[in-house]
Amino acid sequence: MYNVLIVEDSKLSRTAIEHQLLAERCFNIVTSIESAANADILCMGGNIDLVLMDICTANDESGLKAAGRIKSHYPEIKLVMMTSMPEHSFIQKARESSCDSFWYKEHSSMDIAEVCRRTMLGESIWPPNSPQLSIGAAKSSDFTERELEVIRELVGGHTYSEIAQTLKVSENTVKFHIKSIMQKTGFKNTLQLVADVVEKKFIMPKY
Amino acid sequence: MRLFNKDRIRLSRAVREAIDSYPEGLCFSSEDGKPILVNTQMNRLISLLTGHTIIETVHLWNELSAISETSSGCKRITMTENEAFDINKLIFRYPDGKIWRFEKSVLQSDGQITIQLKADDITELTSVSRELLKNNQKLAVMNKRQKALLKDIVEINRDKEFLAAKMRIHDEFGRCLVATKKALSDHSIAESMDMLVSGWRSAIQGMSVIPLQQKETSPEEELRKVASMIGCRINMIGEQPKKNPALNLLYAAIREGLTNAVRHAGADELTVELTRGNGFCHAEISSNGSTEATQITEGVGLGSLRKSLEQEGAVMEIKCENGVRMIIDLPEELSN
Repeated sequence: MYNVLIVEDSKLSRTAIEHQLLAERCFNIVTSIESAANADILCMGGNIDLVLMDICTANDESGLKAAGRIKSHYPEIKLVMMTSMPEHSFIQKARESSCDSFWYKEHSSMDIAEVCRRTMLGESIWPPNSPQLSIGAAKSSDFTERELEVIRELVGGHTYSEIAQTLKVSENTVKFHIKSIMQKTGFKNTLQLVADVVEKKFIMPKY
Repeated sequence: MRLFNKDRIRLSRAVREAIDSYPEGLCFSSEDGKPILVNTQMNRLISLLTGHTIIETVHLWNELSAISETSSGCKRITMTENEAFDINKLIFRYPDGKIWRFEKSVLQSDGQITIQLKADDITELTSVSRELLKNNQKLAVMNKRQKALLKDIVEINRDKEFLAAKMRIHDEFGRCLVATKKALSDHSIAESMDMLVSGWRSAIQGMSVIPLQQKETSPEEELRKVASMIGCRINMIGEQPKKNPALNLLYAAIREGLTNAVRHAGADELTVELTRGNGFCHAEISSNGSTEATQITEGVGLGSLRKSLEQEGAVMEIKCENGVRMIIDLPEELSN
């Protein structure tokens, strides 16, 4: 029997996941909480084997950051990161936080109970890519890493000069990347771009 | 010798003519302010400001610095409202609408010091700078709007996610209905029984777990629950800040205090005393844990908490007298 902590702020998803895991009979749900900020405190109790962690949790607390804290203090605890957001950087960030597996709530062919069971048996289950999206006329995979960084800064509401400072490039280079992004997407201004990117959850700067 | 003097005079005239034909104002003087070379433009500009030509430069600069407006219609201005003050630069608008910037600098050559006064026509530059400032202000307003729009989009996305989850369960319900109808019309109920029963069970289970509302537990409720699960009780005394992000920061501090009190001091009771006033929330977080610690080395947790607090103008202090006490002064009106 594995003791599970579920961190999920949507009551609907939480209840559905609890039902799926309890149906397996090898999982005991210790508790379910809504904020990732409280997860590492519970892990101090010493009776958690598996944490099922949503990325975007209550009060905008990041499951990715909490995962990093848990893994640094309790590396023996298995951690499955889950999300319904197709944010392009989440898989990479989850790997950097040393998570064991990653599950897309809406885009995965495997159900969560199977991911948890196989993770507990020592497997690491990872989707190959984040879900493909259309951003204007472009596909999400059409953007370069630098362009994605520029879009992320725009989404944060930063000016061109602030972006140039953060990315340590000149303002002209920022303008060059933005021109390229506009050509790819066909948008007329950055507001349209930002609205589309956020609406499709392609970039979520808080996490 | 006569020829030499003639050459010197010719050269001196050529230099003067060249400097006088220079469209900007120029004046070179010795260290004590005695003029060496002044062009016509500089004398004209200074005469309009002071009523006299340049006699010496040390006092002249002080005289220029004291001018705010002259009877001849010249007015001291700044390039932009937020421009930093520089004692070696002065800007004046002249009656003809031209804007001149005077700049004083010290030149050194072979140990000899020369004071240079320069006047540049910056009429066009000023107009462009003001336009740029206006554009930046417009951009700042747009950025603010963009941030507000983002917040709305995130909220809308949350609702959409909730509706999408409901839709998925309704879809499953619909699929079961279609499958049952097909089995009935194909007279294959018996063969499909197991599949239909399992499908209906799953759909009904899904329907039964749809919560009636999305409202979740409060941060305080959840923190108390988590604390009690690790064997610690939280005593909250006083009134909490009403709004985020002040409230979120307070909870981040309480969580850090709780973690450290349980992990390092073996505490089973954490006390949070809150007092509010003058736009600040004063919080003192202490525990009934071990009182042995005489000093604390800030690790990742406390360090990152301190950074988050200080970014918002809050002050954090750790005292080690009869146990560890975390003291925080948190401004309640924080930028969101």
